Amino acid sequence: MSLGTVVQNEPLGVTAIEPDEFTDFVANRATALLRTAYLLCGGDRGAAEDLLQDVLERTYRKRGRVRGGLEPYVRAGLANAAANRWRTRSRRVPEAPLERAADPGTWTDEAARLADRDRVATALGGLPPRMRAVLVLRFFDDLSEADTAAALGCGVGTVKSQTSRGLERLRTLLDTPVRS
Amino acid sequence: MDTEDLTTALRAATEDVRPRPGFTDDVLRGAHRARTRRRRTLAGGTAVLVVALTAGAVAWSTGGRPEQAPARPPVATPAPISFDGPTRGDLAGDQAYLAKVLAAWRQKIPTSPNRDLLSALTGEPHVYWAGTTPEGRMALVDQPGPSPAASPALGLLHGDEPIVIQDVPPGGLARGERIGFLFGIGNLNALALGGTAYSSPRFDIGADGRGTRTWTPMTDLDGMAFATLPEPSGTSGARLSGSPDLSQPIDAVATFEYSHNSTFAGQRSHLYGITADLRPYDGPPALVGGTTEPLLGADAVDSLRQAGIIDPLGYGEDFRWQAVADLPDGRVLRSFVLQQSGVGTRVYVMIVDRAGVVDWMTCLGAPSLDQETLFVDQVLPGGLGRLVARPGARLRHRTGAGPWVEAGVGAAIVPMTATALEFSGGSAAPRVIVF
Repeated sequence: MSLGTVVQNEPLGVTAIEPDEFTDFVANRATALLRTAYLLCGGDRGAAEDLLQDVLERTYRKRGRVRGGLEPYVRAGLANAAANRWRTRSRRVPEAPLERAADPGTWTDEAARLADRDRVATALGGLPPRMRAVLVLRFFDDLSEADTAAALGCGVGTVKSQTSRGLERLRTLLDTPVRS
Repeated sequence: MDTEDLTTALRAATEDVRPRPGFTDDVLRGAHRARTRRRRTLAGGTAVLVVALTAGAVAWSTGGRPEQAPARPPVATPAPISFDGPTRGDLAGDQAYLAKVLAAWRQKIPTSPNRDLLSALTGEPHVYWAGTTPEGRMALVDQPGPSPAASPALGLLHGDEPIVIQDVPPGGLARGERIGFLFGIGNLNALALGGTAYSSPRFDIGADGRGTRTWTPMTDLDGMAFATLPEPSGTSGARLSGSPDLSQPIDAVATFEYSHNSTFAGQRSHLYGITADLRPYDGPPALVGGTTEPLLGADAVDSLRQAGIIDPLGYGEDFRWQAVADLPDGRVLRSFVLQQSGVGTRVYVMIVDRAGVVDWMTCLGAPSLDQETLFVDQVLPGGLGRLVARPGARLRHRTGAGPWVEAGVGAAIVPMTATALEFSGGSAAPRVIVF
């Protein structure tokens, strides 16, 4: 699945998003977008709802300047806003989740390990926000390297390096080998 | 685990994540609502002790008698930045690099979101500054626009093979105004036009619910000031200033903010004013006992800023859920959920006296989204009772094996003798909390 590329916003040739179109978009895509936000927020559900709501409202206000489709625009907004947001201690994902993670030695069933949503979400939350965003867009939203770069406003090389480092750090956090 | 397993794990981790009931309606309501915008008022100087929130009036008090808000501190007018003269910075003599910078700037103009404004540039571009930062080589280009009185176009470039990461159209800055840029991973690096500048990573909230900013001198790189901000920081919390207080704020544009594909005016739009809305995400407000006290709105923001509850340099604040109650002694009890840019959402409970002075206040941290717990459960001082709240829920309390006593909807002050509370609403089964 490719979500397309966020294209340059320009004053000419821009088709405004109609309110009805926006309403349909929110109604139909909120669940999928919330799941992306949930991972971007390291498993903090409340923060994810706040983040998505904020980005959607901003998008509506800027709907006259959106090109290339609402969904890639909103996903880019989520990724960047998540990378830039700051949470209070009570909502912040711990910096050292390994200390709180379950003992890897107790995991014997790979399927059970993968199904542990708290564990993988917490591990994601232990990554730097930008690195986390790269992994979420690449491996949850199935964006290509180029589309991820466009969404995050960085180069493809940065996406590649962040992907490599992110997988390695995630491997460390989950204490399991990751093959890229 | 390979990357396919990772995809599977991420999907499994989110399969039961769904928006709360009414989420779509909340978004659409918020999106359509015209936001109250007011010019940002910078407050600083004297620490004010209390916030006055009573009878719909917002007044200042340092001891019970409403007073005028403290005067804005005098703002020293900085010397205008001069773009004339030789290139500044430690790379000023690297002619090969300067040539690359100018070539990259010229190449960028046709594809810039601001290209309509950049097409009217006059004269030749000039490298105002080129220097080495911990993030690599960077440069700032200036080029005059059609009006000699207006600020020139600016371009910020990064890298050994420089690329333009931000451009500012001619006239984009007011006379003498400085500009800052946040860039790099997480926008954790800051460059400010001009020499002396200070950075503040965020508005730090203390245990008492009041926040402060710490200002740190940026490194003077001969014409530009640089800082690396600590994590977590980034766009929503970081601010720059020409002075170690709030008197000379420097708007900092986030070069990797998702709006970077917007025009410069669009990027700055959130910097121009504050917003303050009542956004009942968490449920309808509760006017306990039919109180006629008004809900908090935009007119309370300045007071909350002065009290250190709201960031004076915040970009937007929202009052979400609120409860108001009249106390038997004539004071007013308020509880509200405050959401502001760059700071986590927090629940406050405060008692305001007749003169508008906050007698007592506590901050409960982030609101609980768990439908099976109370939103607020706070024992009030002086034996006033216990504030309990669950937005929209019907509340009943009892003492021991006594009968259930109806306590209203959304919020209530129950007696300290109460031993249990039941809340119910919607299709969910009633829940009982034992104190």
